Amino acid sequence: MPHRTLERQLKKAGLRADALPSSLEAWAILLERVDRSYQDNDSDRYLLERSLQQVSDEMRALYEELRQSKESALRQERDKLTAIINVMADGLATLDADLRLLSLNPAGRALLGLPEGAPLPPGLDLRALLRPPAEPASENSAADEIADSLRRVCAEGVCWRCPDLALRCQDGHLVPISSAVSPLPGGDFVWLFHDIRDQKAAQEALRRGRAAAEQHSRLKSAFLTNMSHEIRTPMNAVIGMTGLLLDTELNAEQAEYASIVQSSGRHLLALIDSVLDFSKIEAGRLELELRPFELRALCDEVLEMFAERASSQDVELSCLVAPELPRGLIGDAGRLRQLLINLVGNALKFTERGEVAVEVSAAEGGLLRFAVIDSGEGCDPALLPILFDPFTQADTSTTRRVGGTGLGLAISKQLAELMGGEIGATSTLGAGSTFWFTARLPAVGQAPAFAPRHAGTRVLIVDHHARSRAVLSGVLREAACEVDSVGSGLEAFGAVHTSLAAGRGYDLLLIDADLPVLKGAELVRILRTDPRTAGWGMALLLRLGTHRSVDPALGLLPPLAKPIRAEATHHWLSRALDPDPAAAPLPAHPVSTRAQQGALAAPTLPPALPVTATAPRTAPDPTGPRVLVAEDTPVNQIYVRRVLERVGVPYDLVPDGDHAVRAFAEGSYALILMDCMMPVMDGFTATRRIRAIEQQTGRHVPIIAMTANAMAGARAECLAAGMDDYVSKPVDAQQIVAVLSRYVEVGAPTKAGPAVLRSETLRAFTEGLPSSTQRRILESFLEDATATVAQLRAAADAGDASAALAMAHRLRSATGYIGAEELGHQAALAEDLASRGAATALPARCAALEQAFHRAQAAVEERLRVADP
Amino acid sequence: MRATSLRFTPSGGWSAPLPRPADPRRAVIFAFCAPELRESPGLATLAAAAGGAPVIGCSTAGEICGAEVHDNSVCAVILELEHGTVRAAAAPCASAADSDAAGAQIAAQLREAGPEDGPLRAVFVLSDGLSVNGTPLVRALVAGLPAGVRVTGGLAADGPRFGATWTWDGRCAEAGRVLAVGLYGAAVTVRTGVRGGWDVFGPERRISGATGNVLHSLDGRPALQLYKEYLGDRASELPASALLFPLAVRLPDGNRVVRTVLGVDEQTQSMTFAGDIPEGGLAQLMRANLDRLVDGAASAAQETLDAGGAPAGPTVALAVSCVGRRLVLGERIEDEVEATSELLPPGCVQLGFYSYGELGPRGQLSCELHNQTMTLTLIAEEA
Repeated sequence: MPHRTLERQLKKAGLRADALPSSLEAWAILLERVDRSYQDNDSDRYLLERSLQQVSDEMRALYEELRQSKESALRQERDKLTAIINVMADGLATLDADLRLLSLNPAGRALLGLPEGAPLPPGLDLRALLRPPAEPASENSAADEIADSLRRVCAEGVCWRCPDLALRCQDGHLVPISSAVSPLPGGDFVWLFHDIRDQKAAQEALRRGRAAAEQHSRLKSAFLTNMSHEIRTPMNAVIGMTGLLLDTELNAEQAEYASIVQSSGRHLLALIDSVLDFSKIEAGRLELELRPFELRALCDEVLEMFAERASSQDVELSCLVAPELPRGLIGDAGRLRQLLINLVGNALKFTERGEVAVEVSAAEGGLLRFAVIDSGEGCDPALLPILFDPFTQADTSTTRRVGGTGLGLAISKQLAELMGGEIGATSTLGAGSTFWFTARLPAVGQAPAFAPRHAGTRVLIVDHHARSRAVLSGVLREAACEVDSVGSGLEAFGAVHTSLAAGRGYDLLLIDADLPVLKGAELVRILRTDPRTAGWGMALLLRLGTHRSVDPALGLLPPLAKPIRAEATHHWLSRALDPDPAAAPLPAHPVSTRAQQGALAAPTLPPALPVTATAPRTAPDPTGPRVLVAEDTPVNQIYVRRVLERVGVPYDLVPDGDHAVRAFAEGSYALILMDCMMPVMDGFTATRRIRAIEQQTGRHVPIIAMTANAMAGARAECLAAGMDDYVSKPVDAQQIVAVLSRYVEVGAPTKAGPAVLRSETLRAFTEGLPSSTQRRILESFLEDATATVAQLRAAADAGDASAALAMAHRLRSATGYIGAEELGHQAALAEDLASRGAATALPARCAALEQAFHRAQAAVEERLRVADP
Repeated sequence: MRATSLRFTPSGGWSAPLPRPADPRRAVIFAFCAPELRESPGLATLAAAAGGAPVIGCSTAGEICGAEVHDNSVCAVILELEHGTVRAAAAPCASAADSDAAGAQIAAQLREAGPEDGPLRAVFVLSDGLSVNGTPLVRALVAGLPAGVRVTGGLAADGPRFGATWTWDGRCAEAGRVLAVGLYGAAVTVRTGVRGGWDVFGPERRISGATGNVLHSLDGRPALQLYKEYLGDRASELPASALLFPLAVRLPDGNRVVRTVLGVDEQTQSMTFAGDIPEGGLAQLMRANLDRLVDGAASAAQETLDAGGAPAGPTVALAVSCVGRRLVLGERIEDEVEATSELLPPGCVQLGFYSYGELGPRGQLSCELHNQTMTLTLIAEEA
């Protein structure tokens, strides 16, 4: 079978493969076609080969082009990297697998001290270049550490960075560097190092600067301390002497001038204290003195301090302590008081009328939050953040108007932060401000809650001020009273009628004297005319320091003083809510004076020894306890001497510590007043000597420090030296007497000293009661007091000041009703001691208290015997 | 449907007596004529026999008649439809720039069917092969016709000379003209197949300079220079020898079309192709493998049948193949027409010509200009 093409060619030529050509012409046609096939074939082959050659050439050219462009790109990239490495300010070297230098950039050469362009010294090894930083003490171990690190770099191919090393240069000196060694692909390493001489120099300059600043701060602080001492000593004299001067007979003009001198002196002293406080805090040298204290009593104190001023400004002052808060806390009561005084004082400065309220509540994180809210002029909120900066006031005109150092809030801020809290303020211009702070004040012990003694007593409060209403309601509810409160006389009628309609009525109405529209007295008068309400107990709420003439016919209970203070209110209640008020009405007080209010409303204070400007001089009792005074400054000597003479305490005076120790050894003293800073021997040393002597005798004489040193830790230093207590100079007469009375029986400046059992008081309390009730009261007193005294002793012996405080307080409260004045006085002394944390002095105090108790016990038992034939 | 195929040679005249169509509105005469027989009496006789039926014909680079390829002859088929009707259209196209206008004109004429005509089913186009750019022509034509109308056809040729081409409408043979016939009626069935069979080779080249269907440079080199390097000795045979290396052009939409050279310009070193060359696109040279070209033709025939098997009754296959294929296949040219006729339905009348460009749909695409393909149009009438 011929090829298909040949077959077709035969057919086209009209020939057959198996037959001879029919004609020459057909044969020629066939040949021509076959020839054309061969030609085609040649042509195809030619084209095929040519195409192959062409494509191959083209491909080769393309490949070459590609290769060249790739090589050139690589070369460019390498040149770029080299340029970067060459201009780097840091040293960069490549290292072989054994950390020998292969290459080094110009910066590295310059640092090492190698000439540029010269070959690297053969075998230059990283190990030989790295040295520990220049600290000779640790050189050996540090060198080992470097060697270890480099071993790990080699063995494990890890990075190693070290910010502080030294580079050993070719000439042998060391340059501080930071260094990093990292592995490269292929087993080599790259080493980057940076000259840190400038950094080191800057650090050193900083260190020197800081040291200088610290030294400066120390000097400043010491200077302030000295200045404080220097200023306070003459101030002590100025204030003290002015006080003595005021005791003499002066005409009105002289007395006025002297008063101005005294008050200016006190103001100056306060100013110095502020500056000192601030500088102490700023220097971080203020330390908190952590002791147990009663939160509510502290708040009451602050309130009391501002009561008169608030009243004179027609500002309603109140304090609401959240009922769930613990009574006893641990903290620096003095500093907390200072904080509150700052904020309340500020609030009063900027509040012309309206109210200032203190609110104490629990804050997050176990903190307490104290807020002082006023309805004053407020301030631009934009100014709030800078208020707490030192020497800043919202505007300078304020300084001229209200005075102040501009340090109060700055100090407050520091104090709050020192107490683990913070401080802040919110304000709206024209609508009042709230200044608040938080403090970490852990709860302590289990201070006794006020016994709910008045369960079921129905009380209606009528007071225009919502906050005061809330505070008073809270206090009354603590005593288990049922309380309603309304804001006006009109509403009071509504409440009274509602209550009458419910068949209940009220036991007691507490009516604000200054109600708007219908005044308190008018309301009482109206209620007295209604037979249904005429017999109810009623009392006015009267601001401290205000005087009010009240018609005795109104049959009012003694007024309850505002601002409302919890403890004072409880006491008032105890006295007002006699079991049978009709049978034993309290004398209706038509007039309220500050003195009377204070006596009734502030029983937390130790009974003030009435050393007043007009107190009669008492001749020293040569047989009584003797006091030793160690004081070098003549002015102070005169001052202390005068005070002691006035209260009739015999004393000896010595000019320094050395004399004091000798006098102590020779004489027999009930108490020593010891100045701290004295020539020859200071008070601390003298105290230590005396305590050493006492080791042999077994006695313990109370030593009270007197010092103008207001710097941090003064109290702690005194106690550490063995002193029992502490008074800060300038000491005033009251302060000296108070501290004396804590430790020795001072001569009673008035004829009527504390009675063992004052009959008038007991009678007022029990008069009209059935004799069986009277008897029960006395018996239960004895029962309760016996137990309390025993517990107090136990607490004192155990050095548990907080438990002792609770017991002394309880005892003092109980003595008040039955007139056991002497025991009450002793309890107050013990309470005061405990509240100051003077645990070491407590056992001695207890002994005196126990004696007083035995006398009171005897008197009560005698009374019971007489009453029960 | 009835189809009568005839062949005219100068020596032997028409191979059979020319039948006269019974209804000129339902008949059409296709005639493919060697360029040198433009004035031959064979054409005049055929025109007379048409009796008013539409005539469409053109010059060729070889006439296909059954399984044979002839030169110096006229091949014709007289097609008479039983149910459908036929309409003719014509538009002048003096230069490549007129191509889309011509396409639009043809479409407009064919859309104007009379009430007796059924729906337009298919259009067969014959165009001047040198003055026309097939790409815009077809684009405008398809755009002007209802969707679903099959458009096929080819560009007239002048042997391997690229000298003068013409179309014949039964009255005159004219250059610069586009002719078309539309087949109407629901019964008319038209199937198509378009295949090439060329291989790409060498690197892909960026078309760095081209305007319309004129290619200036590839990868920054003059296009003509590249061709000459590949052709070597055969560069003297340009432009025909350029047909040995068609250009595979990748269109922006990712599809690839094959372009053949129509002419060269020594002065500008540029080359004119039968369709658009998109500047910025990629082009790659192609070369032939003889067996694969034959396989390509067979695949085109198979494609006409794939859509639904062989139609019942008489069928006509109009074959338009590229002059480049003829150049490459040489003495083996009949291999491809044998391959198609073997696959076509028995009794199918195969008739056609070697062209300077083929028109037909490829795959799912609408009609396009192709080069270097075998394009088959299978016509039948199914009741």
